[in-house]
Amino acid sequence: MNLGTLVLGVLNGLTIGLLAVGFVLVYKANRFLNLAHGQLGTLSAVLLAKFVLDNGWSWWVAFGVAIVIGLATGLLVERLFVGPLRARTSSPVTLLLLSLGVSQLLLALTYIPRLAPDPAHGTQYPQPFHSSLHIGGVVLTGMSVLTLAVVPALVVVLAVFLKFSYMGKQIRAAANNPDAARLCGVSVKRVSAVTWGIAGTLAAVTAVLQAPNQPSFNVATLGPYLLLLTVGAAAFGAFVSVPLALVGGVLIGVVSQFVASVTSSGADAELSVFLLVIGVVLFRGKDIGRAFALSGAVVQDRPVLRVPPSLRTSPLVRRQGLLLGSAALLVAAVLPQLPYFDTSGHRFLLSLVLIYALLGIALTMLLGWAGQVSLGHFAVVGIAAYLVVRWAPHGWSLPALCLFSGVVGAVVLVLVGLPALRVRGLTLAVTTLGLAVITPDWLLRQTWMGGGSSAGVSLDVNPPLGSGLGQPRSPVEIYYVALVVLVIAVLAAGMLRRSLPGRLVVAVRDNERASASFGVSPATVKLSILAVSGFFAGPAGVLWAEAWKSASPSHFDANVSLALVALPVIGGLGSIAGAVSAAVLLYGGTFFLGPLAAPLFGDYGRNLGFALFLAGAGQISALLWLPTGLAGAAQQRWESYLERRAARSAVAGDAADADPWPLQTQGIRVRFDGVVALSEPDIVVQRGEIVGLIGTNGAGKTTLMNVISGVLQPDQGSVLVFGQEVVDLPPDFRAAYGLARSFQDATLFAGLTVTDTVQLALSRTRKVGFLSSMVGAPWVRAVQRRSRAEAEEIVERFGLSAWKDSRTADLSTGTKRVCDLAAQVAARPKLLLLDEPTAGVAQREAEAFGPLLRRIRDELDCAILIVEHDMPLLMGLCDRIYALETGTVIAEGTPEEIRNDPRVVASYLGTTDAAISRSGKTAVRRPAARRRGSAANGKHVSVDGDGATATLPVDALLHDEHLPDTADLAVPAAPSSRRAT
Amino acid sequence: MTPFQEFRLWARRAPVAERGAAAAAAALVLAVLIYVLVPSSDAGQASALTNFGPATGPAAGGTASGAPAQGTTGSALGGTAGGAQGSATGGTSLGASTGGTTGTTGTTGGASAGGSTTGGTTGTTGGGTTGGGPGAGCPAGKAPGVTASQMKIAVVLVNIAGPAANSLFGVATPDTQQAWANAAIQDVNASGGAGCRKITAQYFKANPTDQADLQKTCNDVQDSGAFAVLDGGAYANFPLVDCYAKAGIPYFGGYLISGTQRQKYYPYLFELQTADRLYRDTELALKSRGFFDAAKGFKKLGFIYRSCDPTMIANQKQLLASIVGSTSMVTYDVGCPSALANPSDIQQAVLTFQRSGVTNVTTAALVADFATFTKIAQQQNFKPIYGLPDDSLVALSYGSQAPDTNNIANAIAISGTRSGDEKTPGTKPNPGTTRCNAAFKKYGNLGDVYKLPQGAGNTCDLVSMFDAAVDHAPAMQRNALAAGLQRAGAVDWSFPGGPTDFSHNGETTGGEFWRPLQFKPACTCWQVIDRTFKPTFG
Repeated sequence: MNLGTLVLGVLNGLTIGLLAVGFVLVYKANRFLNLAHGQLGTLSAVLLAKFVLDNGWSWWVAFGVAIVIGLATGLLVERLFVGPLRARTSSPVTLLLLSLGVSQLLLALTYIPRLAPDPAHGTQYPQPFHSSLHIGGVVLTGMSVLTLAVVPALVVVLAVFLKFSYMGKQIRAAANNPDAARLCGVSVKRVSAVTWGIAGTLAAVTAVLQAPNQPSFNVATLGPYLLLLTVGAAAFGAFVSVPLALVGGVLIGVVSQFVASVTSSGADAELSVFLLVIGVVLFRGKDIGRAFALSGAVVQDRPVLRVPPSLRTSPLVRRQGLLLGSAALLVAAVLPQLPYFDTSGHRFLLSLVLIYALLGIALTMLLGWAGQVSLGHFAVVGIAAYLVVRWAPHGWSLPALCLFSGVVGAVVLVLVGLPALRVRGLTLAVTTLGLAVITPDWLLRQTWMGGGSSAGVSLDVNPPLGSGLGQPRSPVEIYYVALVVLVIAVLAAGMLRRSLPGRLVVAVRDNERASASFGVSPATVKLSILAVSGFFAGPAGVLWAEAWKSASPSHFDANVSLALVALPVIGGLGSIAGAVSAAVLLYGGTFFLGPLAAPLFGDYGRNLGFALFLAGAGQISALLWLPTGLAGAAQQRWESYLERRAARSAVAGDAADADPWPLQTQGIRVRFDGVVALSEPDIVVQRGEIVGLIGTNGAGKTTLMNVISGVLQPDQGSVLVFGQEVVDLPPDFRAAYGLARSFQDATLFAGLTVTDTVQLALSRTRKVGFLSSMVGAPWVRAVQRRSRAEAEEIVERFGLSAWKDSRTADLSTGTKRVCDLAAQVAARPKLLLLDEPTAGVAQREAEAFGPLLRRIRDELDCAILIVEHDMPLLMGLCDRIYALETGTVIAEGTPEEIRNDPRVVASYLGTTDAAISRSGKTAVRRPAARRRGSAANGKHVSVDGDGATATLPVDALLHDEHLPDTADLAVPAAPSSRRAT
Repeated sequence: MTPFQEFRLWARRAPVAERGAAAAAAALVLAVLIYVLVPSSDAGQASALTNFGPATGPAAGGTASGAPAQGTTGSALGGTAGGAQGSATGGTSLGASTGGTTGTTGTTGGASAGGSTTGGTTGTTGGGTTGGGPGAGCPAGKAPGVTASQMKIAVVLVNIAGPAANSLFGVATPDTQQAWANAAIQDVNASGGAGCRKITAQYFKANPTDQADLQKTCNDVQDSGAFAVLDGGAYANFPLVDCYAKAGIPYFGGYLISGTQRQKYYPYLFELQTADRLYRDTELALKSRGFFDAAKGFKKLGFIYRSCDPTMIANQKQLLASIVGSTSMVTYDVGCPSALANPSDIQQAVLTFQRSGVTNVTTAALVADFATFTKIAQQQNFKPIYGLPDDSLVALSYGSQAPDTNNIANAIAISGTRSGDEKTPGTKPNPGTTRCNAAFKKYGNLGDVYKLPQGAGNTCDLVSMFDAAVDHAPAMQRNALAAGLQRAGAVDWSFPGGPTDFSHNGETTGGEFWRPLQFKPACTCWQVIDRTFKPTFG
């Protein structure tokens, strides 16, 4: 190696080393890999150029300000992002991910055009002074001299500071044992802030020192390659040794420069750095493992979904995944057909979103389940895409290519991960970063990979889907293929997570030692999940090549690999659905909202700037405010909803336990053209009660029944049915609450037979659809059979068998009444409203209604509100009675109380003996007294009432084994005792 | 209660906002369902048409007074306005101008009453386009985007990141680019159109730094049903330039392609130059000019390049080795980074050249990395004699990626273009340049191509190349344009385009001639040192 190359290597190595020193410093203090370290100084470097070139400041003044900016950047990052997160978690993975977000955010800042110097003022980065010093043929510029002088000095000062100063000791103490340090009075927060301030300062110095050799001001940033160099140097110092980090930097710088000088190839130099870093990880593995010694969970899992016990059987809860997945799938299936999305261009972009979602799943497995960070997954996509282009012309089908590329992806990641996963910690991030860097810059340029053209590789054939399904060609066809692959991946990943291997992965992540004690090999498990993750990334490459119909190294920039890590983080570590959602949010936003952000990020790489901002801000926000990501946030909302719902159910249940009244009306007012029909007739019907409603014509009985049943809308007031407000609901809703009603005219349905009518009432519980009925579906026939049988049973029990096939129009009024009742019973109401059920029925049969209604009440456990003018019937039947006059309740009480209420007597019953007799005083005791007909055949009674003659199935009613003895019914039981029974 | 009743209950009692949101969502879903389920007559076609003036726009008018009208209703861009029957007095009609404008600016422009009025009022003497029916200059045939009277093309505008960013990188704003293209197209339309059909353009913006955007644009152009696509340079450094060719759409690009690509996608790829030929011409031209003569100080050649196209680079290296001898040549490969090369590589290249005693340096495909090279070379006091290919070198020299002017003092560049004319005293514009300037002046006072970014003249060149290809195409087919261009033989391009000769089989790119330039420290500019274009070395 000639001296000049050595000098260049040392110069570059010193800046790498200085970066690595800052990197190590933060690691020592905070125990995580700060991938944002380089970016802490980029703003300083850019602004220094602006101050000098645009504002004419002295270089040294600008340098001072730049350092202050670096210091402030470090402090701000610590105060705003790192500190708050560290207060909540010490997970090195979480903090590493935060640093990735911070790095993207800081990088996005440099893309704001206003921060860059005006090119018109100069294109050369300002130098501190002129120098013409030569060493080994290399002219040392002012900045080079400064580098040689400042970097070693800074490192020495730093080492002395850490070793001998009080703050240095505090930093080391806090790094080694924060809890013990706190007990000794060390302010860990302050120490952390100081550390970050120093790191920011070092980063600013490094960025300024490097800037003159950068192609432009805006590229004075820590790209993935420089990050690789830095991390490699830090790995040389096992992430804890400041001097060795500097040495590592110089070593890498020198080796890289040496290889470049020997091969005259930049790509080969990059490859050598990658191999060197792999070597460092291999040979320093033990020390690195010690530095990374971890315990406990390295990532924060989402808590298990809490479902209130009362809702565990709810279909919505049990099938929430299916419902959510189906809805998402529906949206995904329809989206490319929608206006705006239905262009080939947008369909192409939608395909890319799906590909990123697939990668999100692959990364979720690795990061969320295994706690391992890969920064090189997009490289796998590139490799797979190149292989697809090579293999597709040989007739491989898409499924075969997906499998093949999956295997290749698995092998590649295992090879790269092998050195890293031997040891604990996050070294996989280091080696995969190397893969991300060398894949586009070297690997995909190789002719044996299909490289060799500036145009990349072109997919000139369309691989078939196989099984005669054709070849996807158009963007929309490729979109749907990608969707299918994604769905398969989601399902497979879900099954894997729920399986034993899935549990093993999580176990190893959380506690390697304990896992090993159960006979599990942590390294094997980690490698396995890495392979699986690579297997999922492979098909993404197939889809990529399909979507683009080509592949180019420039597609697979290492920055994309870095940005991809945001997916599992924003999605919620470990959540498959979350990763998919994050991909949609992040890349959908970039593609479809990105153009709107052009005014702000109108610099070179519009979408890059915006993507960086989105990814960075999203990642930071997710970690800080949504520690469990989108999935966690969604889960929280879902849990809140379930809790609210359960609480409502509980309230309803409590109310039910408190025995809500079947009916309660409050403050009902109804006017007809200024005439008050109802004026707050507040009534209550309790469970199991039969309540009568009496009053003169026009008292408002039927109006009140109409209001209760929903036929009439009141001007105001409330109708509570079993505690539920139904006043604003139409009649059919009230039926759903268990309310049924018979009408005064008992018209029923003239065109239906008795059995049909009962079947109609049964239809509430035995539903069939029009279409299925039309086609005579088997289940319809079965339902109809059951319905018919049940209806016939009811018809028979009500003694209507003789008329079962008669149209109701042909029935006598009395039989209609019975038929009506039969239909009401079939509907199984909980609150039955009967409006003058005996109207038009002969007295003897009317008396039979009493026992019948009691039987109905008992069998159905329902309450009955009955309007009736037959006072003997009411007095013998009802538990309580309300008396209405001009729309107002004037009396309420037991039949006896009502009978004796002077207002009722005056208003309704009358004061004569005959009237009193009609009120039922004697009728109750002599139920047969009103019989005017005779049981001609022992079963039927001829009825002659209101001019109508009918034959009622009285015996069937009276002698039914279920019916109580009518004699027992003579004395009504008190409501409370009935409830007790 | 049944689920439906529960829903109805919710519909009655839920908060207004909740119901409103649900109603909106339901309406959206319903709309989607209707959209998805109800077949449209031809949504894509309708969508494409709405972007153009023709449907409602005014006429294009004609060219030479008294020339027979194209078609029965005239060669209207709008097809309906009275100007369709009109012609221009004095060569080109104002109607054509306005009509052209409306045609290119889409619906808004198409509805312009001004265009209609102007076209109608000036187009009073009859006439239309030159030529009559199909025949010489009026190829017959059916092709996407082509009717009897008009031809739709897509024009891709470079949109790095909106106007601000374009200016930052020395690229005109998309609006300006559109105005250039508009003027060039109107000029062609005014002289009878391409293949006796008026050109209507649909404009697409594409960000060359965003590959997904470029691919999306390619897909959108395919959707648009355009007959061909003209690209001012959005796809310059992008592999997806073949996206169009794969779809069988003739692509006219304003940059370079490799010979391999040209062959592979013949007859669909048309470019201003072929990179292989430029580099070969550079090497052989330098040789012919004594660049490698020891008598002129040559000792050793340093060849630094990007190896994105290894085959092409291997050929260049072989040729250079044959010229100077392999022992007199030192090479450095900066790889093919997606962005700019690593500065340490460039440092090493400079050091390697210095230590190897390199006296002369040439490059291939180095483009923006050349700025870094000269910057570091200047820092290192390495001042070789440069002999460079003009693979956008001249254009870059005046932008933010400019090389160190001290380091490249007196450098020689071999150019297949007319670059340098604009800075060389006494240069007279060639006819192509004059025509382009006239069009720019007539259709918007857009300025002088010498003073405008190179993209301005390139736009004229692309349009004239397309026009020539269509005019001479044996049939109005996409795959017949290459043959048409070859039949046309030569197209007199505007600055910065050089002279052309497309007459050879398979020829679809310019750059058949070259001439030398030199970077003059006095003006810190490139000037022509020999005005005569010499034919390519083949």
